[in-house]
Amino acid sequence: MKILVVDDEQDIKALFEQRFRREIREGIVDFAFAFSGEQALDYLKKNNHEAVLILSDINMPGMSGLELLKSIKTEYHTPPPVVMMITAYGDEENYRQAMQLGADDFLTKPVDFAILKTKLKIH
Amino acid sequence: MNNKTSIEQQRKAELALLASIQEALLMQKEMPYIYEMVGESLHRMFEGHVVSIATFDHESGVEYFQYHFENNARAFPDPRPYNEIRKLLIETHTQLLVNENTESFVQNILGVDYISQTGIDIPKSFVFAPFVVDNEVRGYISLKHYTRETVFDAGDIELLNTLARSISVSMQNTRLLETEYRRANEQKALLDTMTDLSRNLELKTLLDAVLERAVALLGVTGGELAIYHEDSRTLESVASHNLGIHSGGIRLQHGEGAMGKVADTLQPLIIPDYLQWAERSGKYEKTNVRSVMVVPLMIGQRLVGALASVHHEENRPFTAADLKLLNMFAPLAATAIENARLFEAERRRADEQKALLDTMADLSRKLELTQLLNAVLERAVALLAVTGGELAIYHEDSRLLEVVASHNLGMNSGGVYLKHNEGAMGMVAETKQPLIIPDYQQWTGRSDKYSETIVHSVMVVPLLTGNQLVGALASVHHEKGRQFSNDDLRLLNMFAPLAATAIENARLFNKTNRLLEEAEQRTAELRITQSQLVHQEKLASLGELTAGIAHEIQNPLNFVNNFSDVSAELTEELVEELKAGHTEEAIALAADVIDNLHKITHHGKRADSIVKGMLQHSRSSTGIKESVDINALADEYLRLAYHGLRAKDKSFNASFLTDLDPEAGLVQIVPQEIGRVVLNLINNAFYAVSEKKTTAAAGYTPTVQLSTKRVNGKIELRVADNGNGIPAKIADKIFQPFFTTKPTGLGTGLGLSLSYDIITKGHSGELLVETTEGEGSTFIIRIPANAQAGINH
Repeated sequence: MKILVVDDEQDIKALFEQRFRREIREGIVDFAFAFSGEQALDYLKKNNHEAVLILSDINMPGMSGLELLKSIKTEYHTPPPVVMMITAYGDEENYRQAMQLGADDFLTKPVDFAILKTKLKIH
Repeated sequence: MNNKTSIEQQRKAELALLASIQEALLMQKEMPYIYEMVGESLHRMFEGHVVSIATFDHESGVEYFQYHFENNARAFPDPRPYNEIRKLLIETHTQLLVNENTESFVQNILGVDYISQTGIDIPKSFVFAPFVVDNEVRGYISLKHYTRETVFDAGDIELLNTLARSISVSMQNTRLLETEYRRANEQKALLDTMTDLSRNLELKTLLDAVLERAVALLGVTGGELAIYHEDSRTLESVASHNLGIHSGGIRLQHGEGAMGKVADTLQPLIIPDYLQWAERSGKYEKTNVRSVMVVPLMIGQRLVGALASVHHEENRPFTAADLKLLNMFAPLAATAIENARLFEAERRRADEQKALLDTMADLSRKLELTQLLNAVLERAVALLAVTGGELAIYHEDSRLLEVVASHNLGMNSGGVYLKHNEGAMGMVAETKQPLIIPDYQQWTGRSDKYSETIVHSVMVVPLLTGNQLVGALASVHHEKGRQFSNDDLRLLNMFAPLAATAIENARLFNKTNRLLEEAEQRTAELRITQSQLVHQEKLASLGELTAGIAHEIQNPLNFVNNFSDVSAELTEELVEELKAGHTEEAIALAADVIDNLHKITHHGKRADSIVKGMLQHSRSSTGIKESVDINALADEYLRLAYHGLRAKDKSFNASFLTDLDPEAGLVQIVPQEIGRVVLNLINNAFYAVSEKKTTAAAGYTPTVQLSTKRVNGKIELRVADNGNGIPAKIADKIFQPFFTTKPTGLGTGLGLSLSYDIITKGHSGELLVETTEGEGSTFIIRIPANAQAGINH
């Protein structure tokens, strides 16, 4: 399962690789990382639907997570990738907007990796 | 007396008698002693049945018997009016000897029926020898014999005449002596008076003393003393003694009553019966005096007063001698009174001077107006020794007098306002002339506002500085009959300019003070407002930051938590691998853990610096410059600003670019202040681009760029946006305080002005703007890299 993680924090990569080191080693998941919305779209264009799940932060400089979501949901019709948005705790407004834009699921910061793994059905 | 022996004996006796009389005279024996001695000798030497020595009182026409011997005994007949024989004696000045035909002589002189009517025995011989003193018959010695005619011979007559002459001399001597003595007494009394008078220079005491002396000197029942006031041409009764009324304070015009008449004529006046005197003044109606003598008191040709002496008894008129005596006394009294007056005036002037000086010192010390006004009034009342007073200040704008201090008027007049010509003060305000009202209660010009007052006489002076009316000062008496004199007016006139100047000074001082206070208060208010606004601006920017900070702090904390957590897992695995002997795996895991620990440290520090930055931002500036990495500071505040804005407005988005010169390096700045400037500029830039985005065509990318550069020892920091730019007409206003283009409530209008102050004043730098309408703005900060100068406000 190819998962694209979008976040402007560089260290998110190291964190995910360590948190999912077992799953990565066992070949259950494969991560790609983008550090902005623009990078994420670029990656999707180049790798043509490779990612089945997109995990994106919302607050990012430049293109925000919501814009990315909108873009993905409007540009990639069949089959649209699953987009899971990470929102700050209690950020009702972003949650509501993300729902309207067709977000498939939500995670609140700080990300609980046990919950994420359950959602990914890898346990 | 016929034989030789007896003649010799008689001669001896005669000589002895004359010697005794001489001796008595030399020894200055009193007359009664001499009469007694002469009488006794005569009735022993002569065979006469009657020996008599009598003296005449011509004023009353009565003879007083000093010695009388009749019917072999000493006798004391009552005084008796002169009969024709005495009158004859007085007229002829010569002895009267009737040795025979005495009856027909008596019938001749005293009238035909005298003897039959009175039944008196007529002596057969009698002789009268007169006492002639100063060519006036003052008495006689008489010898009478009832049984024999021609009983007295030539020798007897001669002796009798000799004795009469001796007695005359004695009388004259005694009289002279008495006069001398009396004169000495008078002299002494006058000297006493003088001493007394010069000692008693206090006028009132002196006047009493003068009157007392005069009464004592003349031996009169009572008296009165008045002093003359040249200004009012009146006599004022200042001392009175036993007149049956209290005349002190009575004032008499020229020609009014006895004293007034003397003042007018400058001549002494004797009134034998005052009660019957037609010209008496009504003011003395109740007096019970009978005879009056008044003399003028003069210094040269100038009248200074009048002195009266009185008798209460009927028929005790004043004589020429009394007048002479009083006339002797008068110049002394006049001089004494004048001296005392001069002295008193001198002393009063000195007192006035002192009081005025005190006033000056006092008044100049009291610049607080209310306090000063009360002090002025108090001084004036004390200076004039009046009952009360009132002080008003003049308001030029409203042309009203305002009563600001009042003392003992019987009502509180404080706060009363008077128009020009209203009441006494209003009249003075109009005329700018002093005003004396002798009887205020009867005065037609009084104001209704003073209907309750009980004052009697009033004196008001204007208070002027130059020609300018400042106020009015009134002094009042409550007692009837206490009038204001020219002296009082002179004193108040002396005081008035001082009071006026003091009031004017205090007014100016108060006004200046008030203006200063107002200015100070306004400045203080401004300062408070300013600091409130600065605080508000800080809070506003802090509010904008909070969301950004929360976000910014959340991320590093997440990493800290996650990396610690995952490191624990890795370490467990590491232990497993070591147990299994997989060294390579163990080393790789260890390296990951070490990496993670570095990341934890990094994110921990990141969170730390954000918290510090937030604290710094909220804290008041310490004003202390530090070496700061300008790039790190710029980046930090850019992120804070961005996240802050994003937190406020979810739809907000903009590109932000940084172009940070690695050579920019460290710069000496107050970090929280420069941080605030950067934050403010970035916020403005984001605001500008988001504004433009609402109206811009599609394809517009809001962009904010932050760049740093080191140029010629200066650090340049630019914040550029591609917003709408700033219209030329407001470009020069944007650094002014309270200038804002943001809607009400969104901006304080202080951001740029504070920023400008921080850069220019605090860091000796410059803050510039380059803008093109429709294309965007660039704000440029230039600060000396090693700026030492600049004191923070």
